[in-house]
Amino acid sequence: MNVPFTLEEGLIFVPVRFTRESKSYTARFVLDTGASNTMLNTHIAVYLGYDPIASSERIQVTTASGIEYASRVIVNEIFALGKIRKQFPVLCHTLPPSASVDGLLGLDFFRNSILLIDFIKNTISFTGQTN
Amino acid sequence: MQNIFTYQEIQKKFQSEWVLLESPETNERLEIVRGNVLFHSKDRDEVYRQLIEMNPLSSAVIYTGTIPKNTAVIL
Repeated sequence: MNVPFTLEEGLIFVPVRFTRESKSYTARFVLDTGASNTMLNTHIAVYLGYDPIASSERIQVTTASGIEYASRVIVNEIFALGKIRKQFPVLCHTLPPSASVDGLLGLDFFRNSILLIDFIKNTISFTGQTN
Repeated sequence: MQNIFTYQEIQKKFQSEWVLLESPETNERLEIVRGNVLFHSKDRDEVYRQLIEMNPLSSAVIYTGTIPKNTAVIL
């Protein structure tokens, strides 16, 4: 399955949907092959009913500008590029407004999968095992 | 009160703003097609605060601006 993506200033934008019980949020994410983990804006996590502050898992995050700490929560369901992952861990961190995104789709989302990014056709092919 | 607009109408009406949508309709690619505008502002964090306060069942926040030209983004 080939999914088109939007390329803006060199960034790959993909829509992502989070669902928890009766709530859902459709987010604008950047596909980041340089990120080991998927990251979600802290406000959205709170809106969905997660509690990043109470999370016992604080993860050291090494970024281009330094070291920060983020809470890890397990989200009920994340849907992107035609695939669903359930009980999926995400880091809660708020990126600056200038990034204009709700979060990052990191490499952990593509684990056990084949990811092909076609920069000629602006499409992503994502196949393989998901839960 | 319903303020339902298409994505294109939102882009024109709320330029370079963050827009909170309730019940966003999406196409097969999960792209937002239309939604009920609950709140809009140039202050992103205020829009997120309103998201938590209004607490709609289904929602999305869209940004109608673009990343400035000649900007490099390293996340």
